[in-house]
Amino acid sequence: MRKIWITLVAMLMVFSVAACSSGNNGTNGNKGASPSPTNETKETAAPDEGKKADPVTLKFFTALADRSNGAGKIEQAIIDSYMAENPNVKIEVEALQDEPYKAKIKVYASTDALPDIIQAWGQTSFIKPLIDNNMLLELNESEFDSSNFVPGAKDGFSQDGKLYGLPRGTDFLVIYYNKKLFDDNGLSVPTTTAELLEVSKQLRAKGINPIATNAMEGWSLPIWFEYAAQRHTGDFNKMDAVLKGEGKFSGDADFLAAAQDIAALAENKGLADGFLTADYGTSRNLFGQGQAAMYVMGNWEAGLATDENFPEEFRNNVGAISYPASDKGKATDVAAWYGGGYSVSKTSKNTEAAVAFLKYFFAPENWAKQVWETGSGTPAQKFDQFLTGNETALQKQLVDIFSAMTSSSGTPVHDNGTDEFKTKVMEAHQKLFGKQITPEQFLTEMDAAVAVLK
Amino acid sequence: MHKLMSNRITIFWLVAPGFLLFLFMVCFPIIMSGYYGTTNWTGIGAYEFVGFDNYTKILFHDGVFWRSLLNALLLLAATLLIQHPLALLFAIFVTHAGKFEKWFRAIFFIPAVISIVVTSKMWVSVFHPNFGMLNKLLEGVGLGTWKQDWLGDPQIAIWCVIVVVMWQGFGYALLLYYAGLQGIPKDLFEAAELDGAGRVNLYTRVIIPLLSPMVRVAVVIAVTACLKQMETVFLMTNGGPANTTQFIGNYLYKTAFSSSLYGYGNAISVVFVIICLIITLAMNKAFKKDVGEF
Repeated sequence: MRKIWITLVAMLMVFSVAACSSGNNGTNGNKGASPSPTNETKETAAPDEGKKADPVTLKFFTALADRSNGAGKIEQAIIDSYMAENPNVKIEVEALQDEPYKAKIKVYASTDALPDIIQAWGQTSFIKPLIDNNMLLELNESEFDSSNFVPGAKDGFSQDGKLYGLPRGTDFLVIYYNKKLFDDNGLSVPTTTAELLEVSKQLRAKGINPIATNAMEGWSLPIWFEYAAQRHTGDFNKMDAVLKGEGKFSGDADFLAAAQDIAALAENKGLADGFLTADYGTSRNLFGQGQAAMYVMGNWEAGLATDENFPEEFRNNVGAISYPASDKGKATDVAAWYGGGYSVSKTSKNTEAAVAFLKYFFAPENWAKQVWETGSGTPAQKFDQFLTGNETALQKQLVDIFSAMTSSSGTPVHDNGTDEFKTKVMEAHQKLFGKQITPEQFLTEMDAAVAVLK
Repeated sequence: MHKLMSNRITIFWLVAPGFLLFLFMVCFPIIMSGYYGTTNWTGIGAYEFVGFDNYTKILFHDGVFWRSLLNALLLLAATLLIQHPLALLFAIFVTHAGKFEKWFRAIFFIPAVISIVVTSKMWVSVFHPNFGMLNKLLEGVGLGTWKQDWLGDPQIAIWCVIVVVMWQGFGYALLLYYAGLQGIPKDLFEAAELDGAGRVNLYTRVIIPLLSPMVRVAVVIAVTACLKQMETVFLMTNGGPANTTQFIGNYLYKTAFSSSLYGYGNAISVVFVIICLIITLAMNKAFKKDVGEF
């Protein structure tokens, strides 16, 4: 009798373990890594989305990790007001920084569990695998006419004439500078590439870090090199042509000259101490605390002029210039692209609700207006009507760079291929800027990276 | 009870849950990894079978992989030759610290208690070339010429990482040895003293040999920790500059998740598992010799 009992208990244990694990599998498979029991009951209770009053939970995955500053704060504010206006909709936000975000979205994608609305980049390396594997919902372009997107802004999110996402902003790389550091040392802000090198030498001689950037993550360097190359070739398209297999990096005099420019800058310690191990926050702080004279970063950092974490002296003295000109490339040739945006998951149970939210989000008076007025970036929508006249000097400089633009680079070179290509390109740049390889070796490594694409 | 345990069916049912867990959580994923390692899967979508291409590439053409392994061995050597003797010395010191014993014990264990994220980021600040404490300190004592870009210099970075990892693990090593020392009966100390053994003899001839079971445990833990090293490197340098501080765990992560080479990443993990198995076997062989009881 006793034996039977023991056997029964043991069997019970086995089956309860088995039941638990299969239960977990089920939820993971459907809803991603963080299923909470409350949502599940809500979602299963509302199988019919037709009626408006039915409660809907949207999962929203974004790479704007800072929810209390800049663009992230506005994104959250719009989400909050949408939920207030539509009490039946609940939006659950998950936010991670860029690189962790991109890692996690792959986990979601490979387990077929994309959140309803995801941040997407209109760049081959990110969006193409998702589109090719039928994971993104095709959006109806006409539904978003009233959002007034800038012409060309949606191109990166389109494939074969179909639209799979909407861009949030226009990005371009600039050099921020600390006017006070320049004035105090009797230097003027560089207007040519030769001056950039000269100024860097002089700043270094005075014990000041010339240029800060986030080289640990690596993506700012290839865009920087695009500038350097354009200033020799006079044409941003030449690099794109090499990626398409027309020509090579090595053996090209212009690319070599550009790589030599960068090497010269590195040789003269033009880059801030420790830049290779500086992540985004570290490099930004170095500049914001007046420890570096220049900062190579995207236009989304217009908030530098208003960030209370930095001394007032800095905030009043921060300015921005386009990359210095040369005899071939003008300062109005800008490395600009349409960066982050949103896409809707095709497997979402609430596609209608998700699209409705995006419509609300991109209504001109929401995202475009608020992001502009707070200086958190440059929207990819027309925003002239929201110019208040109260913009900071930095914002005005950024707008001037943007509106004076005569040619643009389009998608940054490292985002024009697969992730493997991207890693190789960024590593090659880290080595060049870090003086670990010669300009010639750099071009060979770039060719090796392009070879991955074939 | 004896009758119960001799019943095979009962034993089977009692073992089954644990065994199934082990099977599905450990064995099955490794087999799956082995399979994915033979594909060119990018994480999303379809993939093709590429045979043993990934494995041959790792073994014969992947400098970064071997560099990572070398770094792990460097770390292991530093741990065994520097961290552990120091930890043992400090453990002896702590046991003799009298009324401060508890204080020192707590102080030395602090690094192990604080989150690795915090301590890693703290060390990144300490090593920072501009405002880092280390460079400021060197400048302060007149050694300005010794200032370095500690984590940015390919020659030095790996040593900085090793120092930090050793510092983080110091508390655990100390605790192990300290616990070992507590386990040695007090009468042995007295006996040795009566026989006229000095302090040095007491430790080198009596105590340390008796500690060898603990040394064995500590070494096994050190080996696994060094091979698995990932968090500190990820947080401090992410393998940079130019992969000179790369460790296998981090390289594997970077390959699979940043470069989207899941097939290749899986192949790395399988090779890594095999290397770990070989090292474990070698260690078991080396530790076969039994130590006497006390």
